Amino acid sequence: MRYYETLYIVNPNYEENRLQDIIGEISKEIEKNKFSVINHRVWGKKRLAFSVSKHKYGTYILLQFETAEPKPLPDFETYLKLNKNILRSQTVRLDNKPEVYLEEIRKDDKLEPNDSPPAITSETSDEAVSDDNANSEPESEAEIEKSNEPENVEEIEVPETESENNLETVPQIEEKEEA
Amino acid sequence: MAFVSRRKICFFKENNVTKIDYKDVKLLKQFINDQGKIMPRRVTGTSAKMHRKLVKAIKCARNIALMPYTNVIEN
Repeated sequence: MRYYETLYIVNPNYEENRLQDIIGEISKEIEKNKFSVINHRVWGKKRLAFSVSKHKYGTYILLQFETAEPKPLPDFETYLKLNKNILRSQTVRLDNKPEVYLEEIRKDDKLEPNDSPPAITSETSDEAVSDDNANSEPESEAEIEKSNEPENVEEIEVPETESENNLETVPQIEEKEEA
Repeated sequence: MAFVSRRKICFFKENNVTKIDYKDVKLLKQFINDQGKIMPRRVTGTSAKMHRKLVKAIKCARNIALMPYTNVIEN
């Protein structure tokens, strides 16, 4: 079995009824090609990073399906390309079977990632901010180094405590000490 | 003060991320500059393996208009 994911953009001016019609059309096309749908849902109306056929916004629809025979896949892609309601589409092969989308699960997923990313985003956002402010590289690099200083204290402590994980690094340090 | 070289740590290794989803724009946006260019490895410190995956994900996201190819700054 192969798993695929197609993300396509539909004209943002369409209302829900028409969106559902389009989704129905495409799921019919999928049945024709004997693909079995795992997920087929509206991802949301988003602002496009650049205008696509003079549209600034687009309704993203996510389709995940599985098939044993990938031969009709190019036909399906051309169908999407020729469909006038679809602004743009992209099909990607997935390594593992995607989970079936449920709203309740989605809510839990949203909570879990939010616990970890804040610290990460703050670090990287510092870099981004520094880049915005200073176009010249040396200044931004200096700022990044400053921001990294407190972290490095922790890094040094780690190899001493977790010697099992850092077997490669520990011998080098010992050699230096001997020398 | 003697100069001490500091090793940058891969963002993805730190957070035990092995797969990068092209739909995760929030994550990918951290690795482009304000022009929309992909930041080099020497700046971000990502490992070579994950940087390859990251580049693919960013290009996928660009193809489907989730991320910009270029971001021209208007003065």
